[in-house]
Amino acid sequence: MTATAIPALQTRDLTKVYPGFWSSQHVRALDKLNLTVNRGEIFGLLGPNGSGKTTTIKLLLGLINATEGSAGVLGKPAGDQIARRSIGYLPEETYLYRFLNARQTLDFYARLFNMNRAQRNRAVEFYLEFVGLDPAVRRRQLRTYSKGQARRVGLAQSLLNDPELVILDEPTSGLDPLATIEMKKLIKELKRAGKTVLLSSHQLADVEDVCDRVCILYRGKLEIEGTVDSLLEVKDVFRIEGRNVPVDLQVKMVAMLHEAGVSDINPGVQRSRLEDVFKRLVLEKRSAERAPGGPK
Amino acid sequence: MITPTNLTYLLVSILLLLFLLIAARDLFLLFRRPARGLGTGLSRVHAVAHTTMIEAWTSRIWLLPLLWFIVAIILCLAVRPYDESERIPLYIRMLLLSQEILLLVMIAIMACVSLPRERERKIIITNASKPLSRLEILLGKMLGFSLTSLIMVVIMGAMSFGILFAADQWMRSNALKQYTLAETDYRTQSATPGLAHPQPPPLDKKELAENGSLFAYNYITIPEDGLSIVGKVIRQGDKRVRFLKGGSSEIISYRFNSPRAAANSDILPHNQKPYFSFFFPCSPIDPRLALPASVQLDVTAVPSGRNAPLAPMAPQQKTINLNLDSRNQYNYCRATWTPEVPSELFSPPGDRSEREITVTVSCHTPGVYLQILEGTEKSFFDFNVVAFPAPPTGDPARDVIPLTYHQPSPIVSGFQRYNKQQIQGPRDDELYYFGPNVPTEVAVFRFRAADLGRIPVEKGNFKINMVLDVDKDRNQAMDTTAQVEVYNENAPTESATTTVRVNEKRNTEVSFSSSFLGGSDPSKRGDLVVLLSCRTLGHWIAVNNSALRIESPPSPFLLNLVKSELVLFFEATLLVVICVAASVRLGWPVAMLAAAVCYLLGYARGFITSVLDLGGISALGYMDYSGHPSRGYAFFDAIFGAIWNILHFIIYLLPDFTRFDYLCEITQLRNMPWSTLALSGGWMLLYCLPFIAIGYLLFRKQELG
Repeated sequence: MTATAIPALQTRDLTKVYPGFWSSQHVRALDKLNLTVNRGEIFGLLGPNGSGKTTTIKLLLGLINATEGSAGVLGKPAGDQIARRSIGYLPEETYLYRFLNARQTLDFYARLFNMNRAQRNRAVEFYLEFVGLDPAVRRRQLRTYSKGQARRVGLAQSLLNDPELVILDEPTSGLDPLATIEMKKLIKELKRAGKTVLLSSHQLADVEDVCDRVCILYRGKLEIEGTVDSLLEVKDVFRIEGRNVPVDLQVKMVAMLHEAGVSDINPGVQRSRLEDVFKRLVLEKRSAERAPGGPK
Repeated sequence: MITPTNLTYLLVSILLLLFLLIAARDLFLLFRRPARGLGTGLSRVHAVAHTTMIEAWTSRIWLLPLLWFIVAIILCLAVRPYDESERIPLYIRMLLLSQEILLLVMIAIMACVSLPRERERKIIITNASKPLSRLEILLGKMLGFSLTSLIMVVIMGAMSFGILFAADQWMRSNALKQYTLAETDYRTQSATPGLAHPQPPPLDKKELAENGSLFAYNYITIPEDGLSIVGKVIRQGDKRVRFLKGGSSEIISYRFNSPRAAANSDILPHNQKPYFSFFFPCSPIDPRLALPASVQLDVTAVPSGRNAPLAPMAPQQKTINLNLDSRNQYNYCRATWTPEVPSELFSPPGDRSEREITVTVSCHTPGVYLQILEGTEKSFFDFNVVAFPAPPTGDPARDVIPLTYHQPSPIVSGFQRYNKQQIQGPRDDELYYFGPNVPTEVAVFRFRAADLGRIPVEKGNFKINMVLDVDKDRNQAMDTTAQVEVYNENAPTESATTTVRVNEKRNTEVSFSSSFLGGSDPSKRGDLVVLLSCRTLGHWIAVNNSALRIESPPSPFLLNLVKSELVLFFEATLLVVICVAASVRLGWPVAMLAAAVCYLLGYARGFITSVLDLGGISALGYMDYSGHPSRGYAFFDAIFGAIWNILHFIIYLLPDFTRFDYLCEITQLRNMPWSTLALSGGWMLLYCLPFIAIGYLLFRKQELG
């Protein structure tokens, strides 16, 4: 089997039971999960709280031990040290040393990938710029960072080693809408660069925007899996959109549909999304600030 | 045979073997590049260590040298030594001890807190998602805190040297002032007619002003068992013979090896009662007087060594009379003693342990010398004490088969006080009989032949330096005179004797011909024996193992300080390793408690072991004097014994922190031998390995979610 033919992630009957003191207190967090993520795709891991998303990720990284079953990452057993060289992981919260500043943090993680000083300096500068961390805060300790700033450093550390597989656990948590958009753009860019992305999120809209395939877990079990289009397609609903439609024509069209026996007709004015309004407003303000003579 | 030591070796070997097997891949990755873009594990360990050092720095460990400096200055200003010559050793002790306390406390807290905090804040999740093995995380933490303590030790060491240098300069300038003043007074007094005996200026002040007191002397001293105090030493042909003096406080200790090994049979078969037979050739102190009809001895027997039984542990003792036997030309006395409970001393049937017994003897009868038989030749007449398996049966063929003999060259000690032994000068009554050539107690110092090649020789002579303490019962104003005799065991008939005035607590120097050091061929060189006796009526000279020494050129003080600081660093490193290993699974308060217990038991090892050797509850002063232990006494002794036995076993599993004795040499202004430093480093590595193994085995499969 060639390297590209080996799936990026594969689990077989992966089960995790968190033991309690009594057998009645055992918690089955994951129950015989069988999952395959192919190379180069963006895969969404969805589910409500406690459905086993983070447990799956921790098992794949070897942070916890499986009770039953097995998992493979990039052709190696889960948790393999060599496989971890090609993985980037962004945890659900920013778990970084609070006494280090952004540069020191990235420098530390770059050292783990055997980069020399020049390579480290280049990579640190590039990724801090890439995640858009304000240069003014880069030499401050992480304890003084806002959640969004810390999240950006977390993202930078996960990309530092140019990973083949990027595991993003709630990547947009703590980010403002603009940053969320940038994050989604980044995920798509990763796909274009041939990377595999495993995305776990509650923000279904984000997942819908970027993922090729998704699965939904519920109480540790895989409930549904497939491409986004196939899952979202509603075959008995027809929709048409247009600009500058006169009101009398709208009334006529609704009447014609009634006459034709079409049910559940839902006419109305198209509303823009709050995200679009926010984006437009902030971008306008920023361009005004950057313009010569504009407000600082 | 299962003893605490053997069991410890076994457990540690199993642990290390398990570690090597399980950690083989991680150990391999420490030194090899497993894939492109992945360095060796050592580079990742270094990265973790670097971050750990930043962690320590941001936790404000830099306050430690500042805090220590304030404490050190306060201590140095507060203390006043009795003697100005003790100022620098006292400063060194305070500076290093305060360093140790502050450094160990601070570094132990940090090392215990670091890993649990990473677990709490889940930073370890991010780290463990990188190509970083658990072993590398563990080693990185240990190395980081160890390097931090090294930096602290270097900074505080440099500051210590600064403080000591300043103190030395201050002492030198003071000494110069005092000497100049005394010299001026002396000149004035000498020039003044009518003033008799002007006091000359003190030369020690001049010496101090010129040379200061920051030295690291190189001494050659006698080995631990190289000192004995005896009543008399005489030459008999090619041999020197030692005598115990009756009525003195001298004690002879005879150690018996395993009776089982000697007898090659069960020791107490068929309810037999082994007994000791004592045999002492004797002579009167005054040749004009007859020997007394009997000589009274106090004898004590205790089980000793690691395999001693636990309870009851009280020594068995008795006063016995040795009856003089002068049926032939030799005067000797002999007696037998059967211990009350021989099974406590000798191995009972079925017990395969190999015990040791120590029998001590002191003589109450004045006016008599008892010859100490060395036990170097396999003949009845070369042993003072012999153990027999059963009372005499009347069958001569059977009665002469001994159970065991004492070890060669029994140890003789004198009156002990403050870890020193004393030799007495002539007494009034002895002076009356013997005149000025009265025999007095002798301290025998034996320098090893192997050390003699290092002794510096100047103009055909070598020097012996003596630092002796003096006690005076009478003749308080009189100086103490000592007689020193030297000979080489290679040629015991050739000796030299000299008499010197003792400078109390100061260096007293005597010179002898280098011919006593033996020839140039090391194989033909014998031990150098120095016999020291006090020749002043009513005076005592106190000696210990380092009272007599032979000086080599001194080493630089700074280098000696560096060595002591390095030993301190080794100790801190071991504590760091213990703390990090303990914090792998435990929360930081429990980890800290575990590390503290480990450290304290490591220091109490000697005490815990010695209590067992000395005899259980009796060793703590709860002696039952009636000779018939009550039930309560026996009960508590059994409980105490059980607890102590458990402790005894535990301490063998823990590192012995007393091995990191960084103060011993430098506070005596002695140079620490490189071998001591290397040994400390070796012990540190050896003790660290099991803790690294335990830490790794606990951490390997730990869930970090």
